[in-house]
Amino acid sequence: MSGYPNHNENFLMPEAGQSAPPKGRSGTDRDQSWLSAAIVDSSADAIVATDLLGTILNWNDGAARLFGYRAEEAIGQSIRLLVPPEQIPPLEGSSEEEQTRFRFQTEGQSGRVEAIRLTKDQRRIAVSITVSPLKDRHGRVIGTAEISREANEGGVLGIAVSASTIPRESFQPVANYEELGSSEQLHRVAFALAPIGMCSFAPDGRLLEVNESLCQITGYAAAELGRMRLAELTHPDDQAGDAAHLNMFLSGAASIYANEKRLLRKDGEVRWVSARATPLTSSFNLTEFGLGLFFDISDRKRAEAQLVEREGLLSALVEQASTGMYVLDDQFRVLHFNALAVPVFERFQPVIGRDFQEILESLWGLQVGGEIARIFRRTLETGKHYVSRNFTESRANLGVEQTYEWEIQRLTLPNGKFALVFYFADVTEPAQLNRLLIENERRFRDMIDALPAAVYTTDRQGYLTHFNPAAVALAGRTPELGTDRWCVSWKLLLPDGTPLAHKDCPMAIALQEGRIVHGAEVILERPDGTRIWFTPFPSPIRDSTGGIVGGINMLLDITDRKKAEEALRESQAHARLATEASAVGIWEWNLAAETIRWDRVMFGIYGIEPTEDLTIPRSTWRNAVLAEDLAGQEQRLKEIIRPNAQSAREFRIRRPGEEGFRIIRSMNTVRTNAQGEVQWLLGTNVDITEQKRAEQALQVIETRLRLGMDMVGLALAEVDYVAETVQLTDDAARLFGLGDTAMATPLKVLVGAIHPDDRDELSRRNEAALDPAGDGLFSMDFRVPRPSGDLRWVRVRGQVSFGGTDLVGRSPRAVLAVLDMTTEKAAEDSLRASETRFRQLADSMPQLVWSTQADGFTDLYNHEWFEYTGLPYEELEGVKWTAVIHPDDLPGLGERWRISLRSGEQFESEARYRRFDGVYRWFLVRARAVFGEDDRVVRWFGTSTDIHEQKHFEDDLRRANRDLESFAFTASHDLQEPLRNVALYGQLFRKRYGSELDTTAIQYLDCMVEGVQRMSELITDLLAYTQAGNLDAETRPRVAAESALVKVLVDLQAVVTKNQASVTHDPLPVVSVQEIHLHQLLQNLISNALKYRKESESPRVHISAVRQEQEWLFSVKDNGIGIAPEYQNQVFGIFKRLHVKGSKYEGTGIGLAICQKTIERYDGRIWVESKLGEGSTFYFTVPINEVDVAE
Amino acid sequence: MRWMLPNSSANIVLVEDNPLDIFVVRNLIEELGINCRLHVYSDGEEILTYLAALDASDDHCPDLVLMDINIPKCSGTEVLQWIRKSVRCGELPVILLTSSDRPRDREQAERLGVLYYFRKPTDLDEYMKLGPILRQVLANRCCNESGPS
Repeated sequence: MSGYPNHNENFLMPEAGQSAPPKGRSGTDRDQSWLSAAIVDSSADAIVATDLLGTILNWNDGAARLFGYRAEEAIGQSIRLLVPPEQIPPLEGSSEEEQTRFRFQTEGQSGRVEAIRLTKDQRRIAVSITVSPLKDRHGRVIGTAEISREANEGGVLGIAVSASTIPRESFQPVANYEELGSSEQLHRVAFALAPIGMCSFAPDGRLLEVNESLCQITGYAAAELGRMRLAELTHPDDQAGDAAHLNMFLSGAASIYANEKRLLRKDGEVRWVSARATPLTSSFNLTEFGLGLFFDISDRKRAEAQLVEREGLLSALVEQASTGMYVLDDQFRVLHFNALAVPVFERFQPVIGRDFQEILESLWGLQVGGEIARIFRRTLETGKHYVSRNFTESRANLGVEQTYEWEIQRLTLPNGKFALVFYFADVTEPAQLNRLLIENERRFRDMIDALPAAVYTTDRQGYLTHFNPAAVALAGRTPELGTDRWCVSWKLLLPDGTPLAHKDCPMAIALQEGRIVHGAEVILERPDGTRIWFTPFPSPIRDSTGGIVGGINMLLDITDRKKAEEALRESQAHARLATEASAVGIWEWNLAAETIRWDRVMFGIYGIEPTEDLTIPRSTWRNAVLAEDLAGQEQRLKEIIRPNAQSAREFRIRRPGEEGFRIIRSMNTVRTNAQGEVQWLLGTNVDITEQKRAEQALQVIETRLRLGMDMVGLALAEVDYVAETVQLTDDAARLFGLGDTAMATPLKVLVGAIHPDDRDELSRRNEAALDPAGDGLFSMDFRVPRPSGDLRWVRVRGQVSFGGTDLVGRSPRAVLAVLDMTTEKAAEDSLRASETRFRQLADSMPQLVWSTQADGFTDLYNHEWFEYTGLPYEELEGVKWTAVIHPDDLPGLGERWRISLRSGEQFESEARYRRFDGVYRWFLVRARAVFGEDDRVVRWFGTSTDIHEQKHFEDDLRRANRDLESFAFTASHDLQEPLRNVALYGQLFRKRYGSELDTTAIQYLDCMVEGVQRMSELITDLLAYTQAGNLDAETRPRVAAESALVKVLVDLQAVVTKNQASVTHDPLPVVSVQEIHLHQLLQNLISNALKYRKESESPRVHISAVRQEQEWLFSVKDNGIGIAPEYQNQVFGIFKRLHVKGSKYEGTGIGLAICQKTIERYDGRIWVESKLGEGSTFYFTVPINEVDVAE
Repeated sequence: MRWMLPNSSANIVLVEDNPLDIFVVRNLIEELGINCRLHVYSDGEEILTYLAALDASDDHCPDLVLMDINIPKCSGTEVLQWIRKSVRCGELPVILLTSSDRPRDREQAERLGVLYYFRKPTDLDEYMKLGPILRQVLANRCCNESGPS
């Protein structure tokens, strides 16, 4: 075996030791065999090879997968190993399948047979076998090649190249491995039939042989492919990435090539392929270098793309979910978290991979964090889905109380490991609202309990949710919450005594029909049998959306009134009876005769003995009538003495010998003569005193009832449309600015109290409510002028009821609730006014102005927004404005905005906004929270200011500065290097070879070195000069001038010593200057002082600083040569040197220019005072800033 | 490139690409008779490779690094940062040899704990002043290492 490369050992050969290796084959054969072997090796599918006697010679992984036998088990066995026993013919016969195959072989054609195969585990599988004859070099059929495909799976491919089971009697077996080994046939068949695109190629990538599948994949004909190279099969977009890979392989640097890439078909269609190539390293035929395989994986790629898309969608959903989410792995480390979970981890960097228990304990403290961790671990172990109750705990790091709802689920990751996904929602606000609601509800109930009237509430279905003690007293029983429905009572009766089912009671109607039911009268029977008359006032309770959430009912006990009414009815009946029997007196007044005639009843009414002729003088009647009523009655009488007049009058009389008065109702008609003149009046008198008294008694009872209403704080108005009066409770009367409420107020008076401008609307609505076809609802807000001149807003709501059961038949009536809306209206008015003002202001501003609700929902934009963006309000509302922000700026802006929304801190950011024409411009965005009384944010108010030009200018400037600086440094460095090289080599040269040079040569060398050194200094100084004007906006660190001076003196130590100079100084202050700059200043000035010394005396330099108003004045005084007045200004100019080159005073002429530029940058000044020959004093100032002053 | 001086005990690493500077440094070490081995790396990649290998091995850290800021392939600052992050050789004394006088370079050097910022002079005599500095650093190094702790 050693003659063969080891990777192909079992192709076309039995296992070692089972059979002799093929001998004496030609190189070509061997190449072919390697090629075939390569197919086997690089194919993921199954190929097996063989022996002519029906003995399996080769068996690859694909066959092993399909049939279950390992190669060492199958090789050497008959192909009948795979044939179910029942299909194996007895003795030497051949099966039907074998005969079919035999036919293919003899005819030298390919064909297909369906067969049942037996796997190692005795499963029978249906396979579709493509059979091709195998021929040797001489064209003799030597066997068959089989490609088996499991029929029911279609996709799974197994290629079995097996020896045929040719009946022995028909064929002389060619048991010759050498012949068989001419595997060209095998190669061809496998090559041709493989559903994989295959090709062989030359070292330069040129395609040599291609199969049909490759033609199908690429859309090129075989001949066309033959002119192409491997690289050409790659999609142009993928070529760059693929080429390196492929070239490595072709150059032999890589032993295998594998890539997934796109392939451009001839027809332009793009296919994804998995391309692989293996070398045919043993090849003697150098043209055939390798074997390429192409699997069409377009479907998979599409599926992957869809998956990615769906996952992207999913992760977008997760990111945008209104719940926070994070994922932990089974080691309890954070794997992933979404945007809403960011605040949870904001203190932790990095988050991914961090131990979650550590986070929990840090956030919630050891105990609580540990408890939560246990819950997590339980879910991790058991897989049980955990949903939390509200979880409220002070978070250790924030000191705020937050309420969370959370749930944990266990996931199984693709790798089979568990992970935990944690969802949470911050319900702090809902929880607080809930608490507030409960609190409000409690207060509401307390209030109800304190009411003297019976009150109860129900839920939407009418089940009792609450009742007060008065209700218990009224009902004579304690109802059961949640069981009793509609009513607190035990039994209900209608006024006529028939039973009333609870489901038909007024409360039930109110809830079912969603309206207020007023004016009903119902009898309640207590368990003890006593009966109570009451009037219920049920009304549905609605939430803010108008949906009914429950009901409230107030029961007013009207038993007393009913008793009075009963009594009244009785007395009225008596009166009527009396009237009918005898109580109607009849009178006649003859105007012409001036006589008045009464019947007997009249005398009885007036308590006078009847006269004989039953006539009386007029004085008799006049004397009887009470003085205060008489004038009015006389007047009325005068008015009615005209044709066809009728009248009804009431007046009071006093009967002789009786206390008090009687009330008389008088009715009369007028008779005329033939000439049309009034001749006499005919009338009746009825004593209605009893009736009136009963009515008054009723009035008293009603007043008392009303007082009851007043006590419960209701402002009510009960309108009697027939009498045109309104009965007001005290509170209602006060709202209308009316006084006494004991008597019913005429409607006219009430209307008179209302603002004239509202009266028309009032009467219109009133009529609408009175329309029997309508719902009877009345609702209006109107103004009531107050004595002070300002207006009160009153809201009246109620319902007209028709056909009430009232005794006196007052129908229709309305019970109206009256509310003082002045405060609300004022608030509304001022709100409207301020909104108008705000909008006017906002619209007049050149910026984009906006305002959001507390949660960041933007609901207000000024006009400029619509102008700038070209979008209407609807497309900006809420968070839609994000669409106009540049995508690159949005994440940063959004993050800061979220931080501000959470913290209430002022917001500031910069972002590009898209203009209507698509152009993005830079804006400075600022927003401030508006806080309510309870220090909670109620709104945000923001502006976005266009800073585009400014920003660009700044950017340009900054860039220019940066470029300049880096240019200067690079240039100086690059210039320095060659100079240094020249100078140093020069010096080295002089040092090493100086002894061999003459003095002139040495002089030249020195000149060269000095020149170069001066050039180098010049560059350094020039750089420092450009730097001196370039101060970053960074804060100016403070430096003690004294310590800077000490360092300068250390640097100058050599010069000081050389010149035998003395440098002294006063105490120096701390100043706000960068140390390096102060260093530069002092070094320049002091070294100048030492340099421009007089020959005659040793230099003395003194440095001092004096505090002036807003600055320190530094001075550096020397005893040097001094400067002539005409040069004193020039010394600060760049390159201004007062001394010729070569003199001992020479320099670069930049030092003082640097000093000036540096000091000017600190808003200081520098100047010199000097006398030629007497030394100079250089002064500079450094402004004092507030920090300095504080010290 | 790698030069070694015989009979040495201290190890000095020089990171420099200018042959002249390498020549001068080698010369001054020779002239002053400093007992050391000089290892020269002429670009950033070389020195980083060396440092990475060193960090992974048990070898001793060098006693001193002499380094230019402006070197090919990566900046001296990067190398310096790498050294400071190194677990084993983080405390290594470093002397910067540079022709840059840029304040930012000086600040950075200070921040990264450079022992000495030696401005490459144009004057040979000035250059020779590096010698005593080296000698002193090595002396301190030796005493620190051998002294009781």
